[in-house]
Amino acid sequence: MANYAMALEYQNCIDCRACEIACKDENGVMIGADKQRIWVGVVEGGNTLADLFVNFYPSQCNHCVDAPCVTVCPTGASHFAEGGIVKVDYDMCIICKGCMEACPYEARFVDETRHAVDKCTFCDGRIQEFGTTACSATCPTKVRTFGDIDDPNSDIRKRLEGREFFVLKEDEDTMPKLFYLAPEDENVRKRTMGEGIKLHKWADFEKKYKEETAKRRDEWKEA
Amino acid sequence: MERGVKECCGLNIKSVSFGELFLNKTMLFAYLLLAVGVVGWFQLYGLRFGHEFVNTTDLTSVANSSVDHAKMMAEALKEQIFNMHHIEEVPRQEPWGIFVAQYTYLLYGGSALIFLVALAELLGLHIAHKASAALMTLGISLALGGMTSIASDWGNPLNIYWMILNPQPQSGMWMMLPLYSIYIPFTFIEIYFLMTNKRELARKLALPLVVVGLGIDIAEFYIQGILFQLNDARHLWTGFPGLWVYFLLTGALSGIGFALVYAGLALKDKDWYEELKAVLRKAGIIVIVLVAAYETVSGLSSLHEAPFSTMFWGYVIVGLVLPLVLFFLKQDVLAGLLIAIGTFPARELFVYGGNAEPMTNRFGMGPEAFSTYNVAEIEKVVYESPHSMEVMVIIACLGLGIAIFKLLDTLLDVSNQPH
Repeated sequence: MANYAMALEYQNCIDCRACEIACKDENGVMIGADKQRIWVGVVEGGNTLADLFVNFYPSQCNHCVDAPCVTVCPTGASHFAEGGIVKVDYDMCIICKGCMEACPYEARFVDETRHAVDKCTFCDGRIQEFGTTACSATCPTKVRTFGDIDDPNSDIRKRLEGREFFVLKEDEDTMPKLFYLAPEDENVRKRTMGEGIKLHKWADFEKKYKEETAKRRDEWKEA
Repeated sequence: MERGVKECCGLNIKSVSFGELFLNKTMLFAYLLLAVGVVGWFQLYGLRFGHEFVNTTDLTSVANSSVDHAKMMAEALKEQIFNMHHIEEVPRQEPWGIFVAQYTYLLYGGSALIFLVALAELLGLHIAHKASAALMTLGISLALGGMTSIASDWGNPLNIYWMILNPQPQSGMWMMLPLYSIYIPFTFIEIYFLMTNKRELARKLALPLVVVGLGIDIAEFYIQGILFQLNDARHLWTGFPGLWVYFLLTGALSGIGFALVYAGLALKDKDWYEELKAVLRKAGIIVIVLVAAYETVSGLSSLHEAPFSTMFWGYVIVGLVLPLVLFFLKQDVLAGLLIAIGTFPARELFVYGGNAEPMTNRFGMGPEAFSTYNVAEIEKVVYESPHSMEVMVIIACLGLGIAIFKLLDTLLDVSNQPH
């Protein structure tokens, strides 16, 4: 069984939001500015014309290896699907919102049309046919690289093996599966990453990642 | 046996008219609160199941639909785009709100009152024998009001049967199912044995019942602690030292407040009224001191932003300081009333405060933003005030607790049990 993950070359993002549109169109997501499965965070800074900048942070559900949203769900609606994708079974959700509280990334929202909590599914229906998600397929600057992280020949593995990366809120110990590729340019790195980010190399990270994955892999449901 | 009293299964049940049962002053007051809630529930479920919301799939279907359907979709779409903030029940940045605050307020207060009564029974306090049936009934009635609040919070309760079909024992919230399946019947069994005519059997079972009851109460608060502490990134909750002890102590404070208000309203003519007040006063002073000590190490005092600061100081002044002064002045009922009022903002503060720190990385300087609980450093603190319909529903939950208690009191006369 594959183990799906995503690497993000976030410095390439131009905030065109084609990914948000593609996601809504592909997955029939609810209409509304805050009803997003994926989003682009924007931070502006600088004081003078010489140092003005704007940073874009494309993001979505991190499909954590040790997902707290799955742990807290009282009905089993939140679960690990094939490939370690964290999904919600709409027919089992009571909208207790425990998963929304548990998620460190605020990746979930209530979809009033489905009467359930909704979130990114890594386009799990689409990837069987096309091999990648709608957001990564539509991105004009190739921010996202989606694939099987257990496959040494996959594009995502090659990207991670060749670059330093970080994950969001590492201290929460949820072992996220969105890997943000650290910019190679030192100035861009400093401007976008701020202080205190732990950078990793796949060779060092892989052991811990595999250990954590093994702990909950038996919960993954087959399609 | 008194006239107008029938015995059933060892209990004396009063024969009362329809008017006495349903149209007394207390019930009329409860109806008033429930009537407010009916409006709230109507709006709430109307929004959840009667309001037109659209997704992208609906929009693509418009091409083949009638003009009326297309107009309806257009209207819904317009409202969703321009008015979502007002029609949306659950903002993603603040999933839990006033319903959970009311749940913790009534349920912890009621449960802790039951715990205190059982503890008094175990310690052999004289007054416990006289007031225990009434106070336990009050406790379980308020707890049921609290459960109604959390049931109102669930956006799609129709799927609740999955909690039985698909058990999730790792989930604190799922643990509520077996817990309350035991807790509620067991509390009624305790009340039954406090009031039954089968005195010999009751005497034999008294000690085991009290001990098991205390154990279940502690298990309840322990599981409530887990429920909040499983939310890894909500550092106000996960960083709370001994959260279940805090819940028990603050619940005990609310419970003492409820008991004093009830005593002031309904037990004034009893010859043991002063004795009960004196015991509750002593317990109140001890619990206030313990809670105040706890608040010096809890994270609640770190919330300096409005409206959290207002809630905190409201709670400290109305729920702790003024009652303590009033206890020393022997104004016990007023102290109880202030405790009952002042501990609600404490629950609001706890629930809303847990969401105060934005979780998302869409704001702030990159992904490192907001990964530690330090509200003072965050520019935008999350707070969404509750809808009026939610406020109306929580008022009704209190009314429901009062109505349940009054019905049981009218039928079983729990306030006058000789024990």
